[in-house]
Amino acid sequence: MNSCPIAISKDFIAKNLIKLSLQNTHKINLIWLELAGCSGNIISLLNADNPDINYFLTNMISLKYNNSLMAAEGEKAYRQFLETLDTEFILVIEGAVSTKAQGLYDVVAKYNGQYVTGMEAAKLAGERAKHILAVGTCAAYGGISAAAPNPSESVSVSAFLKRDIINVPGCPVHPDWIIGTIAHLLVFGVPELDQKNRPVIFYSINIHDACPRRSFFDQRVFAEKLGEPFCMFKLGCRGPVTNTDCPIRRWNDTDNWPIGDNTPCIGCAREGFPDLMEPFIRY
Amino acid sequence: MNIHNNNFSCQLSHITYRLSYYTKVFFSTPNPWEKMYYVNLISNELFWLNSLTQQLWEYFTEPNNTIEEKQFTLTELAKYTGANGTPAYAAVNGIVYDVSLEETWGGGSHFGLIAGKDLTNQFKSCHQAEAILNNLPVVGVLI
Amino acid sequence: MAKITVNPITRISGFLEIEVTVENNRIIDAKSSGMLFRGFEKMLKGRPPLDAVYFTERICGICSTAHSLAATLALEYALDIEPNENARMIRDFVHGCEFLQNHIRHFYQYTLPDYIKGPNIHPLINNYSVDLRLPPDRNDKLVQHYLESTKYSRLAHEMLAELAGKAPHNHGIFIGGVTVKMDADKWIKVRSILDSILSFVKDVMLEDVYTIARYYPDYFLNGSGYGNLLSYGLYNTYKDREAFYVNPGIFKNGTISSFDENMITENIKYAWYEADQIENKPTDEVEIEADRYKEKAYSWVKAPRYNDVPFEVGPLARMWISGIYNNGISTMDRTIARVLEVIKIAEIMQELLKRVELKPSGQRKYSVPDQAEGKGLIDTTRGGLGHWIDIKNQKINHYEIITPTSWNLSPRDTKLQRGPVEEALFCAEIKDIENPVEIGRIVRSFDPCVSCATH
Ligand code: HEM
Ligand code: SF4
Repeated sequence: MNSCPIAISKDFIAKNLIKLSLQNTHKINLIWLELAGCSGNIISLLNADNPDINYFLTNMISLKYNNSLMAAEGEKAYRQFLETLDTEFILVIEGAVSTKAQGLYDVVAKYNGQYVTGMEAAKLAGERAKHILAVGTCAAYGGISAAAPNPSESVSVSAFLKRDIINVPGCPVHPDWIIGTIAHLLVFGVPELDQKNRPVIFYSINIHDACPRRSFFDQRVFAEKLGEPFCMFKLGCRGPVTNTDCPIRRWNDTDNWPIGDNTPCIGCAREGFPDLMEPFIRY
Repeated sequence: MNIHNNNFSCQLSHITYRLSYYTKVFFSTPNPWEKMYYVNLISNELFWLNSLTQQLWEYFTEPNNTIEEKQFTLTELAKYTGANGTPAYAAVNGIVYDVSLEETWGGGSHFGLIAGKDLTNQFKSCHQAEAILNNLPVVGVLI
Repeated sequence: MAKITVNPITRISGFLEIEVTVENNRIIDAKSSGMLFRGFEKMLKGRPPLDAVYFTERICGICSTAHSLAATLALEYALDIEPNENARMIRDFVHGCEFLQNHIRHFYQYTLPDYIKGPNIHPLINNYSVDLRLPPDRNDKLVQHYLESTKYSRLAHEMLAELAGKAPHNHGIFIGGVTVKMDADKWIKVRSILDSILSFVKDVMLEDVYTIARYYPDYFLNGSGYGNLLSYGLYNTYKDREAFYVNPGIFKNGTISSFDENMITENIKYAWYEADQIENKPTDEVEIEADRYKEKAYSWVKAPRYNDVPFEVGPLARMWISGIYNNGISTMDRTIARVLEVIKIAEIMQELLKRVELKPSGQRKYSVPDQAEGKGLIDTTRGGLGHWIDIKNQKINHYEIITPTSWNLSPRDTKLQRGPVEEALFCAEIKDIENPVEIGRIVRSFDPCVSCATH
């Protein structure tokens, strides 16, 4: 066997960490609850690459409930939701909690002849979940579902559940932000969060500070219309008030992103989107 | 030339930059011809600097340019919404501020507010400290 | 007689309840209920008109590009703007990316688990499934393709983002065309991705759908519905045959005739809304208020009608009206037409790419008029989508959206005509009342999207 102490300790650290993480990942269940929203965050998750959705489902978590992907339907699907409540699980919520008409603006299932509203499902799972992630701007802040005059009286998950949650905003959320946050939970525990409960690793960067067009801003070279390769500030860019790592991470495995596509940032990951971020484009 | 114009301070900083560079080379080169050449360049820059200070002086003595004189009515203020290349002005407590280049005011709009208005009430309902206004260029008063 | 309720119908976008009454193993009544309402038309009131593009696309996560395009067309109509040909081709290409993404995901992630025993990973493990007919080796192959397909639908979104900033909820489609400056780097990237997607679809997906069809031939016989088909037209602005797909048209009683958008109405008799008029034209400025407790109503989806008749929209309608596919109208035909359409659209996209020049976007400054009206009607992944905008005082005064799934999932109207999905379920055989798999299979063949339908 290996007698070198350094080699042994090397083994010890790396292997054990991996083992530890794998053990954990095999255990934990995950409920991905879609509420009042566009169900676009689960689509964004499907866009993930390295790890992709297949790796995420086989090696990281055990996705017990998700309206868009699960094979089961009807009561049998909802039963899987209920069964998972008695286990240790992570709850991911996308979409806002719609509270109008006792939640009847958003019904997620019918069980034993009774409607299960999004509100009830969020409450049921929210009380028992080990961790809760509010994914997407609707879940994190109300977002577009709560846009004035908020016909469905939608509220954010944190306003509804009143317990510690992790906000992962973005419209939609970037797949790396959600998979990265879950990986952190699984392997290294709760990630460092900022004042708005967002993981610092993804949301500490101000878009304007890291924007490749920043030198144009500083030199006052402004685009007068969309499609120009200059700073979008005069068209209403919300980069200066939005914190995400879009300028360096970019989207969909391309080097493109909204500002790279010659359009202003509309602050989709910021609290107050969309009402306080409008007008999106102003000439 | 407009003294508020960014161009002005840009020119000024370019001149000072060049001055310090030429002086540095002047002292570091042993070649007398080169020294003469740089003295010449420096005096050129001084000429430009002089003309800029002249402008500052003119601005200062010109009565129309003093802050109290630039007066806005609400209708006049309403022209400065930041749309279509106009500057973005907003009034708080009777003073008109230029928010054209304020980073949180992209496109002349700020958290649902649009420039070109008296936003005193909105300001008070959102910002406690008036200190943030101190960093904004003042362009006049509201009458 | 037994009542069966399936809620949620999973593997769709949004929340859907289907309730059927079964007698002697036949469905004798069916109701479809959209279960989510957010109220986009109300929210849009008073907003800056140009914002409609980025605002409305957030109606739907799987077909957001469609809304950005319809909103753009409506605004272009209102502002009287004509994009240049190059920008239009790029925009149509971007829209095509969404078709590829949507159809691949719909076939593999949403449809396939109805017919095969899924891979042994959650959430695809379904201990209750019955009537799975594929022999193990074929089943395994399709499971493999289920996993493989995620790569290609992701790549379709990658193309979309390469040209339009990000996906879902792109930024690049805007009035006047697009905002991207096409260059050789982008051109060759999307070209190569498109080629790889097309060969996957031709070599794998096409075979897979025929495998399913072979083992489930009875699904050619159910889910037919009214057989009324409607399309607003798609890729019909180009003169070249190679880049042409389908003109607007309707198919009824065995004949294809021309389409007149003034015949479109929306009926709210059985939907959870109150208004002065029960039936409205999209341009009517009626205040429609939500009322979740309205008697006899059972859905958030309104009932669009064409000349008072329900119509089915979607890939089958397009393939049928364009004359490319005419095998039949049924559950399986819908699914096959969707796969065939992927090939058709990918080929059109290749043609568009051949014609695209490396030019700047041609964007201009736009000023919003004090008053204007606009409409944008276009076929999108799930069928015809219409946005109608009315601008007053440079603000949105009225906005009306009729989505493809509103057509398909519509509830009954004043004349008690069932919606197309309800009609498709009507008379279908349910073999095992405990496991009514037929319901989900028939409904999913329409690719319902409730987020869109109710908005
Ligand atoms: C509806 C009322 C308003 C709201 C909700 C609001 C909100 C905010 C917020 C949230 C910030 C911080 C930006 C950030 O996150 O980085 C900010 C910054 C700022 N606001 Fe406002 N604001 C309002 C009205 C005004 C008005 C009327 C003015 C001045 C005319 C103003 C001037 C500023 C300035 C100068 C800053 C930058 C402060 C700094 O550099 O730290 N705001 N505002
Ligand atoms: S484009 Fe936006 S984020 Fe980038 S430098 Fe300009 S204002 Fe800042």
